[in-house]
Amino acid sequence: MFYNSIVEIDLCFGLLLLIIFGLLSLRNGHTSLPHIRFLCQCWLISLTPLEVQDIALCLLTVVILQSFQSFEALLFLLLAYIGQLYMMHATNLVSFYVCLEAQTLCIVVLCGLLSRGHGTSFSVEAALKFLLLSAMVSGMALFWFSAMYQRTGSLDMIGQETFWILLVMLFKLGVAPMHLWSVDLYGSIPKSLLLYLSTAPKLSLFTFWASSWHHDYSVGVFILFSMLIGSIGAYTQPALRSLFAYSTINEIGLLLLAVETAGFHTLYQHLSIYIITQLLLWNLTDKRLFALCAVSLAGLPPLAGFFGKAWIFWHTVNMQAFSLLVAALFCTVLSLVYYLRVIRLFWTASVHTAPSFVGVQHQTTLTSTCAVALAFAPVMLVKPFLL
Amino acid sequence: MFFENSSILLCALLSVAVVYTKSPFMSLMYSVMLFINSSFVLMMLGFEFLALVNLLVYVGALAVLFLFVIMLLEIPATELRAYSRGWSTLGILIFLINGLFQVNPSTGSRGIVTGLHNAEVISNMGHALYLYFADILILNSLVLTVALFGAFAIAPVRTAGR
Repeated sequence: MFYNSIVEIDLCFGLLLLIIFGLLSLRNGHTSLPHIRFLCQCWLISLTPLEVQDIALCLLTVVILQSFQSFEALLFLLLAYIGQLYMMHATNLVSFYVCLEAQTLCIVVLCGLLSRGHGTSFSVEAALKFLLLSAMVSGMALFWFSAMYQRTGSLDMIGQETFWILLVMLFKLGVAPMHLWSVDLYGSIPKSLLLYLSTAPKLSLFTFWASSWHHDYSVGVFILFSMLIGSIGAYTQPALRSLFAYSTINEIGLLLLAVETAGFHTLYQHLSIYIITQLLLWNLTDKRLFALCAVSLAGLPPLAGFFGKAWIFWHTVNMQAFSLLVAALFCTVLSLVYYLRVIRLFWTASVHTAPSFVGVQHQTTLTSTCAVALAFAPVMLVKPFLL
Repeated sequence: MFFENSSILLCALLSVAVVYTKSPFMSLMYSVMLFINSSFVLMMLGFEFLALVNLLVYVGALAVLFLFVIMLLEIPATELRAYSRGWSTLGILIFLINGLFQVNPSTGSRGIVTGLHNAEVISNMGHALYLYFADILILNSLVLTVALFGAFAIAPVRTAGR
């Protein structure tokens, strides 16, 4: 038993050392938060991730750690990272559930934690809503896990109850018609947590889906729901956050279309483009870059978002799912309306930096890297279309 | 057969009664009776360890927790009932209608893949927890740490200017 769990013991020991070091040094005042943050990032990299998705999650968490200001937030991010890392390689229902709960609980605590400095009750309300809904949905998942175990005697994800467990996974991804928690959450949490929430859980859940989850049911209904609600729901939203919440639902619908028709390589390609866009979006201080993000999300060439969508639609044509393709194209056209509105508003804005951004530290390296990646990634993605 | 079925029926009746009573204290009492009944049903099914753990955790910890909550917060009983507006009735009706469309579980042979042959329940539980799922046990301890540490971290701090 010791040798089975030696990796986790090593992880926990490292985390314990980090906690002790952080608490002692913050109390004495000898070192400051950037040093502790650097140590956390080193701990993440020192776990030697083996596969591409592990490396992607590690790099993503290292980048996201940069945006957080309090020590407890860093710790909960690291704990969520452990949960996500093990979820991506889970083959058993029990391990999937424990890792899912680890990730969800850490996000709930982070929602409640980051509201103290701002003094608003929105984050507490968001944390409470997310906790109650996800606890109920996880309870439902556990019921169907036990039904599957009762019927087949094994915990290896075979059986007819996969539809209900698929529902639970889609809830955590934020797929319509179970999307209301994500719309509420997007408006109420601080930007750094929003950045984390819209990238890392999706990466880990989709990797789990790609590696160990066999779904027998078509997700076509969820694709249609997500794309319609994502494209039409954003019309009446006055705030930028809720607009991009609905655009996220639209993108998740597109990623589900990739799962349905295109295969997981296309899914990972579009997901990585989406993650880079989100990293750019929520770290911005210059208004014109919002327009760049919107162009990429809308899927207009020559930015990278176009090629992600083009690949998915090309595979849909190959699989001859023409009704899904027509619906997806229709919803893309509908979503162009609000993207173009964002582009027009932000590109021609008179003041390029909003006054609320004055005191915030600028992460120019990150934003410039993401902007360059979005603008020049098509060079690597366009080749199959030209041949 | 009649005895087992009537115990399960008592479970259902008690859980409906938890929702429908007017006073929170009677609701708690019904829920304690429900916990004891569920532990009894588990014992009849042959899960002795689970029955004892249920009794310990649910009655010993959760019911006492709810008792303290009811003691410390003075909940006016009439307000609880006034706000309910028939959702509980709707929920029960939907549950009954759903019950008519259930898939019948197969009664074929079941093989428990991860169990020890000819061992008792407790030995199987120990084998599963500490040998087969040993790494998940440690991950689970991380989840419990998050729950505990998170409750401390979210709690409002009384010092000024933090």
